[in-house]
Amino acid sequence: MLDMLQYTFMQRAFIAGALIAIVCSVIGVFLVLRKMSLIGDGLAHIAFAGIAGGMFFGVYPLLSALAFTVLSALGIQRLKDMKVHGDAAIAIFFSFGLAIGITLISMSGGFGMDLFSYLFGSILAVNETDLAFIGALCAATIALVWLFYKELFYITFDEDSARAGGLPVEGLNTMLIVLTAIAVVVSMRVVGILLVSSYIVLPASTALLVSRGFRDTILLAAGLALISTVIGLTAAYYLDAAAGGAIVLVLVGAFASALAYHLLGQKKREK
Amino acid sequence: MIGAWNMNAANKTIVLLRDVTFSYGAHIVLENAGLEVKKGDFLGIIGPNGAGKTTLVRLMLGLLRPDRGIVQLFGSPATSADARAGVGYVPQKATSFDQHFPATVSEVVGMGRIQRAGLLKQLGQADRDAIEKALEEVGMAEYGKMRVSELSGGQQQRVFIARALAAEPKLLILDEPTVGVDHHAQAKFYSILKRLNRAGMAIVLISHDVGVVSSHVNKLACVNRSVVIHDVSKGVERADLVCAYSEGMKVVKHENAGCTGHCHGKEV
Repeated sequence: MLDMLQYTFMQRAFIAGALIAIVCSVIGVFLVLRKMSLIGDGLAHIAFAGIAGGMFFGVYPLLSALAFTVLSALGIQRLKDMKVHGDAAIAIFFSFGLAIGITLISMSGGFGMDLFSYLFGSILAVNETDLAFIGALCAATIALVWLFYKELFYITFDEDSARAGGLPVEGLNTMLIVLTAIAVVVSMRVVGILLVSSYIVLPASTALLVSRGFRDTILLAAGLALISTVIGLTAAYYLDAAAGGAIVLVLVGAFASALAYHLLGQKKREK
Repeated sequence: MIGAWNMNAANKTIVLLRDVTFSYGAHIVLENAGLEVKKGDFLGIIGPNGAGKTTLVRLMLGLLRPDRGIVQLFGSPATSADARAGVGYVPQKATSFDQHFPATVSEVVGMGRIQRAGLLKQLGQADRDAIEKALEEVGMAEYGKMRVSELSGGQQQRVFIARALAAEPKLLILDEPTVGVDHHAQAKFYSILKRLNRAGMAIVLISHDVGVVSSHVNKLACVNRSVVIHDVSKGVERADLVCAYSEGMKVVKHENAGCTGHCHGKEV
């Protein structure tokens, strides 16, 4: 089984995959509990515009995607402050992103195939530059979540009390949405734009079915995402399948098992 | 934790509101409201729905700024972080949180330590001790590892009081804390508050349940756009007579009401 690790591209895929797994699953716990599960999907479509823009103007696509997604995330936050409903704010930017992406692709007529690897993800796609970029951003994100763990936990549980307790709630909300944008951008290379949100939502939802405390939930989600990523990448290598698809299928399997376990437990308690 | 409060500041003013006016747009919620909470006070805030009770508390917590007037906590503006650090707050919806939220009792009480610990710092041994002590204070010490959502309404309410206590406050503010809690749990709840109050903690309790509140507090604030304070430490027979606060409510036995001379609302 270990022969696949002889290939540099697989080593890079595993390192990138592991980092992304941790980042997405941890951020995902906060998002799912705050009923913001769909923001990952929205931001991924916005990132699509960033990728297309980068290719069109000859900028490193992950960088242009990062800039565009982070700015849009802040824009969504601003729109919410201006009394636009949160889901509507996401939908507005989502359409805007897709529209830009589609327009640029149609005008260029050339980079369709490259863009494909971003839409569906690819283990072959992660090059040295990508790995450095992904690694730096993931490290920064994990460090920030660790540093602000207790504050993020508090605002997720009860924003009003957190505010009364003197926490900078607005600043923390902005940080969380920016970190979400980063999680989306770093994940695209491996799992693809179309599946990023499942990477954010599934490990968290699975962990929530079986965990007790908050810290447990975070650790469990990260562990689940990590294991699923290793299994998914391995399967993708041997079956010559898309990595994102394989990983997400494993994650769905884990969720289904946890759900069955949860329902059985519930039945037992009812008896 | 209560002993930490300086005992020689016997008459120290903890909350001070003077000539406070607050409005949401054109709608005036409070007008020229004033009140004072001193060390050892147990203030009940009563009034009909929409009278401005919660607004009053949000002003005290520094979450809202008045259009006019002064709101001070411990002699500093209520909006300053220092002032807020001395306040423990149990919000109105404390027990109606997301019941699927994964959090243990200890984790929830630990939220009360977050501001004290400061940004970028992890909770340490002193914080864990304070969490345990706060749980003991409300009789929930053995529930630390349980998931909050598995507890009864009354138990959850005590956990939220413990969360406020974990901050080692000098003032405890509770907004309609007994909504959805059964009678037995309410009795326990009031006995905890009474004990804390006797140990020197100032308490502000918002409630619509006039009858119950007035038998525990020493001051009653009747809120209905204005604020009228009554000293009820010597006992009141019928608290609903103290403040004729609800529209159309009639005070029948005014002579027993203990509010002679300065009762607002409709008098008969």
